[in-house]
Amino acid sequence: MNKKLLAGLCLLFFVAFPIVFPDDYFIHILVMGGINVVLVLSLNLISGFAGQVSLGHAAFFGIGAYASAILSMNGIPVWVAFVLAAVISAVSGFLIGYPVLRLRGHFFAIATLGFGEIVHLLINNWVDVTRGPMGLSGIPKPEAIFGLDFSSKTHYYFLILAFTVSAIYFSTRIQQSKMGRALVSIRTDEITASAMGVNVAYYKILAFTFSSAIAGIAGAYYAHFVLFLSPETFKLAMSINVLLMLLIGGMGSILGSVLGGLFITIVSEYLRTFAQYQMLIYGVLIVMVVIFAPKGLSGVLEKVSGFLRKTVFQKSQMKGGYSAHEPTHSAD
Amino acid sequence: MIEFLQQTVNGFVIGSSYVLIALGLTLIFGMLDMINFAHGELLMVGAFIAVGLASGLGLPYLLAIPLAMLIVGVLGVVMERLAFKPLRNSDRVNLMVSSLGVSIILQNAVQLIWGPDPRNLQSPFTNMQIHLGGMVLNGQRLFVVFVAALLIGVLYYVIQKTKIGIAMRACAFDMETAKLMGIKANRIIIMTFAIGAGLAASAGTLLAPIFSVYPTMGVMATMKAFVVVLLGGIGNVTGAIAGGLILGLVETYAAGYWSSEYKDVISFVIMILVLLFKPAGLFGKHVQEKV
Repeated sequence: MNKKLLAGLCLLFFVAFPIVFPDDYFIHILVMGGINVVLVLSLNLISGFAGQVSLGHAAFFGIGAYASAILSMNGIPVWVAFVLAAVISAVSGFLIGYPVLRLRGHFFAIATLGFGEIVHLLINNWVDVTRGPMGLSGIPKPEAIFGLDFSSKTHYYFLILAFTVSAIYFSTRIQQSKMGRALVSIRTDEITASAMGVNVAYYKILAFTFSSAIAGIAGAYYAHFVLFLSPETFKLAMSINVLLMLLIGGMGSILGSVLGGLFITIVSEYLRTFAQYQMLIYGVLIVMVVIFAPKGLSGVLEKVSGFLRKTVFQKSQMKGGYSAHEPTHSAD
Repeated sequence: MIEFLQQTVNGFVIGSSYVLIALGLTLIFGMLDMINFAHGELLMVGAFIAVGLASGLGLPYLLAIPLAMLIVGVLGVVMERLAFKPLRNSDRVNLMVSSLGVSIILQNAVQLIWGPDPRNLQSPFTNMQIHLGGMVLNGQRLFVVFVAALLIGVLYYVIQKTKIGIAMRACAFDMETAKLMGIKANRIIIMTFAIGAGLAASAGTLLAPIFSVYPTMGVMATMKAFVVVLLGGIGNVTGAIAGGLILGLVETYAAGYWSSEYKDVISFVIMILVLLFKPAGLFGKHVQEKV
């Protein structure tokens, strides 16, 4: 009950944000943050839940972006292109995942890295379709819907917010379903899981296909938001960045995925003021987080809330009152 | 025919540099079960240090090579102590991510020091030409093959015959048992990182006069080294040597006779095919799952 209340308050905050602070710069960062959060959530399905670390996630983001951009530039409505981009990404995810998911651990990571590079090289060299290094320009904006005509960033903001909330909801439903428990058992011990009757291959491929579809939608959104695509975006660096967001947020945690995506987007934006030191500080941060907080931000949060429960909350209970609940009451 | 021979020589040049990069990577991969994404950056740092020594301090090229190897060897050890040792008992993913962090640090530190523009390294062999039965061979390219063969030979001898080498193989085979047998595992790990880093740096200094030197050159080197390691079988020194030469030759032929844009695609396709059909590598016996 408390958790639902908290989630509701968070949603209220994010819906109210652009109305209270109509600042284009902040909204732009939050839109990019939203794209990242959706991407991290999609990677979390395969890398967090099922424990298969993928280094080629940018490929599916890129496939979705290029598919939707090219389709809509050929006269297909953007909303239809969105759906088709998700289907195309899902199919390519299935085709790639089917052979590669037989591999485990490092081998899976390196094979996905190889596929990511192949997709990047194809985008870069298939000039007839993708216009190669020149990039794709003239991508149409989405058609007006529900009173949003995408003339301002705020309209885009509400669309990505809707995508993000759906991705969170979808992830939560998967986590709580039979599939979620099967994936966790695969992550913990694949051999035991299959001995217990879990269809390892089936669930892995299903998770990978879902993961690719969601990454494809994020890519399609990105294409119609920035209106220009360049192969440079969909390189290994991007796959790595998404993985880092997941790791810094907390592998396998939905809350962690959201925190990691937002945190890294905001931190790297803030580090821009340090210009040439930006990436250097970023690298140092990564090493430090891995060493000092190996379970990521959600792990730290859990520790802090565990500590609070033990010290503050227990003490107040000993006094006989239920003061522990007061903060939530005063919050609304 | 002459073109084919020329391509073959070029393939050997690229291939032998791949071997130099992959040897360190495969040793560490086998020993610590970790993917080191920062390995290619050691090649890049080595190349930049050689440029600094040669054009900055005016040292001769032949002296800059061993000095750069030495400095990068020390850097490899520092990297292991600061970024990898604290994680030795942690999840493998964390080790990998830590090495990604290190590679970002090294790329950007170099860019801060030397700037983002490509640089050149002068070598006394660059303008040397050797005519051999209609072929024109470049002196620097021959020098690369020669030095690489020398270094690979020395390393092969060290690993097969000396006490340190036997200890290294023992640690790669089974770290815990090696420790029980009185091998100081920590010292061997340091040694392996130093040797691996030094070899990567040597590849950087050897290739620098042929291609230019720039801060992101290590990324592709890392990925090519992964391909070589998987081709040859993880932890397999002989496999890394054969795998490196095969990849160098295949890539050069592909670029020469088919398409230079898609030569990198070929190497990744080969890698994925090998992973799928022979995950132990072309020269490995079977995959050993470490528990």
